[in-house]
Amino acid sequence: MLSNYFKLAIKVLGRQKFFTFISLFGISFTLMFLMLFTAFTETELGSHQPLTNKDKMVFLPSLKLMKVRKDTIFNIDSSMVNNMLTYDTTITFKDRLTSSSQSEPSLHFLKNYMTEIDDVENYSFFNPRVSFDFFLNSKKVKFEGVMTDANFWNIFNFIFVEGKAYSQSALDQQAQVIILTQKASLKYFGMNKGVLGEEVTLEGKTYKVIGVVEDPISKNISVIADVYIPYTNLPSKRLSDTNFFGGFEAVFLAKDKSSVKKIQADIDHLSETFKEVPSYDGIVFNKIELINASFLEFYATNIYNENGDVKENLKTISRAVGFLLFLFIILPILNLVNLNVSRIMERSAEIGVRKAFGAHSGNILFQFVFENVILTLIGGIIGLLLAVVLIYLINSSQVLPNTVLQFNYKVFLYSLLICLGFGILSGLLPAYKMSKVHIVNALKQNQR
Amino acid sequence: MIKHILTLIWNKKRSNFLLFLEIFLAFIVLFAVLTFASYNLRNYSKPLGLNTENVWIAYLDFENVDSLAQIQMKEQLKRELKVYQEIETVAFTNNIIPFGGSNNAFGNRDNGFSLQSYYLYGDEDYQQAMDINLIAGRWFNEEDKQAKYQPVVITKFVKDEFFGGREIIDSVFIFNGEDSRIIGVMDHFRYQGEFSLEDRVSIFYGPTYHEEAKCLAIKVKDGIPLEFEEKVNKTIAQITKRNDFVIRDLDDKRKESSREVWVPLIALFLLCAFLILNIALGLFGVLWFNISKRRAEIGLRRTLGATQANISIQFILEIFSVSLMGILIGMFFALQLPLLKLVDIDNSNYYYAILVAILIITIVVLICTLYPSRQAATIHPALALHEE
Repeated sequence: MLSNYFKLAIKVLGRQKFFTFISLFGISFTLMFLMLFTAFTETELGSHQPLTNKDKMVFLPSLKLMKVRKDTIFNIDSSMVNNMLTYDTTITFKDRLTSSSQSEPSLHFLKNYMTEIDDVENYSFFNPRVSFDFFLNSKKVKFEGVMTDANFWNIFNFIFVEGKAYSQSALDQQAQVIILTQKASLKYFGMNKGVLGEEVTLEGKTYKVIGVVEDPISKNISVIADVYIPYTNLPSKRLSDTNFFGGFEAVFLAKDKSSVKKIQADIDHLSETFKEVPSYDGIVFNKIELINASFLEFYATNIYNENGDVKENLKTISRAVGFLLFLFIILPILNLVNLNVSRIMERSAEIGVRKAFGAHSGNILFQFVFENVILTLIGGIIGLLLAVVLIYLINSSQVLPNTVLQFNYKVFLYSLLICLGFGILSGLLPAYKMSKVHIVNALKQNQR
Repeated sequence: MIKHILTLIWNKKRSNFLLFLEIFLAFIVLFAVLTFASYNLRNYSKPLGLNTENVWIAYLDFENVDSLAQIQMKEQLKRELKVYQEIETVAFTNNIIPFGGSNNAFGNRDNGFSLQSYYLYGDEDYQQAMDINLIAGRWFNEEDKQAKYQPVVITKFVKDEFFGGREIIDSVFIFNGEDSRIIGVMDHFRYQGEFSLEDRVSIFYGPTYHEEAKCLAIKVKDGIPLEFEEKVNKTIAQITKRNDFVIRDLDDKRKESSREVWVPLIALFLLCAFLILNIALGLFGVLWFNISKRRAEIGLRRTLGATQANISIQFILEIFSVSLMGILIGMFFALQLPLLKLVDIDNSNYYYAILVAILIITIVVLICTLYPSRQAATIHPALALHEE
């Protein structure tokens, strides 16, 4: 039976080429976009190395020191009651922010206050976004580096092509060692492996290569870099500085996914109960906020940061994306439904005959939904091809810097689901309308 | 005529409802995207007030160097770099770099009125390095080093906002807690991004002895090869005796910061174009089909004396009435944004967006109805009636 439906669907498509074109155009481009979108989110937000544990991570990207003054607001309402002027006075107390300063915390701060948080399995302190410039054969090369501790390598799962990570003892000995990504190795040595034991000179300091890792796929501005170096290679003043601000960031690994919220709550609680806030530049601060974010919140904050509220940022972004996506899907569906509903009567003769020979409404409904699904699947295949071409173009042109869009089985699976959903959604109403047509009317329409 | 058309629409309310919904949603999408575009593009079209071309920024660090040696180093840097033929000028500034993404701001009522501004530091060569245009007063010079009050140059926006039409050159006000003499007014200084609103900016004098003056802005001449950067790099390394500084091209920074708006903007435009094309094709198809189904009606009208133009107008009006309803309902929702002030942007952006959205939808509907309705009008009455 299905093969009959299938043959019928193909025949119908061939009969009205113009309408088939319109439908396929809409379907294939919409699906292409949706596939591109899934490929993009999968690349950006999926579990890729080195952030395979992303769902168990809490990031601490910055500190906010604030000076808050208690403001007393008098509010006097006057009103006439029984021809008498009466006053209603309300006094409200409100915290007013007079000045604030936000930056990355220092190692001193992290070591003193952030090491004893419940439910944290492991934590790492590191100094991200260190730029190294140097000239190789009169050409300027830029390396981004992260100065890390040893735990960094336990929390983030980099894939080592060769060599291995440095240990705590390397940090204690202030070893001048370095781990390169394949890209960095290719830039510096002209080959992407076989460079163990070679030397890299950055800012006049010579480091020995002890490992090469695969280029990270995940994008996280704090973790992704070209080179990784033990943080004890930073100037000793930076490490011992008792300032609260100092370029470091922290990541905490929760025991399990469910403890992430708890850790965030703990850190928030720590902000509220924090004593001994220091003063800077002559400003006496009296309140502190530890900006913490889960992986998604951290990602959202990097795209859109309105007022530093990490949780609000994620909500705003998801709402905006959701709204646009909804409109983007609903419009082509409406268009398709519109088109199908108008073309209903074309098939009335067929429906009439089938019904006369005993087909139920359900059968008719199924047949037309099935036909529509076939149409969307064809559109889906075209869309898939378009998406693959577009992904290739985007990757090779580097429109999105440092992003290599991936097309894997997951994206394909999602795409298939999207196609099916699209086909069923856009076919249901027209098919329902068709199946309800009365036999007599259907057959009568056939006169022309 | 209108009543007649309304009846016709009502008779086909179900399929017209879908059409109406489509137009309504298309209007909402267009409105949202165009508001975003209008806000950004109108900011983009305003002058920046600075020029990033051929400007290199060197981020220096003078840690562990006592202040006297620091001043000597900085003066030596300026002196020796200026010797190069390729360099136009060298200026010191603090770490608030145009398009760098960081800001400093102050805001207080120390003067008895509210005064808020972003601020940065620049020395006497900063004007030339950034190509800043003064509309009143003068830029900093060597004499300002002995000034009693901290010299400051403000943008016209700060002047208009807080001082109105008053003559303010050489007046002393409290800026950021310090008595400051306003010595000049710049026309613009939109350093936060090409798509950002006009900023309130004050530039304080930050000569070599100022401890915040840690960044070098180097303006090179046109057409200087990239290799020259290595020379500059070596000179700086030699004088400061350290290697951990970086040099960045300010023009790259500007492009980078602008790309954050260009990429979504272009993506949204492409999306919109596709949606509109999709809707146009759908509309065209539906009309085409409807008209071929209403041949009998058309034939009858033609026999009774309706001209070809009458028939065309009837179909165009039918579709337009439905579209108009979609647009009107869409406008009702769109107008809530400026009325309720949900998002803090200039109201005119919304009105522009509404106007352009109406225009685009009207044109699309017109194009889609014109051909099928012409087609309908040419139907020969005899043939149409014969088929019936």
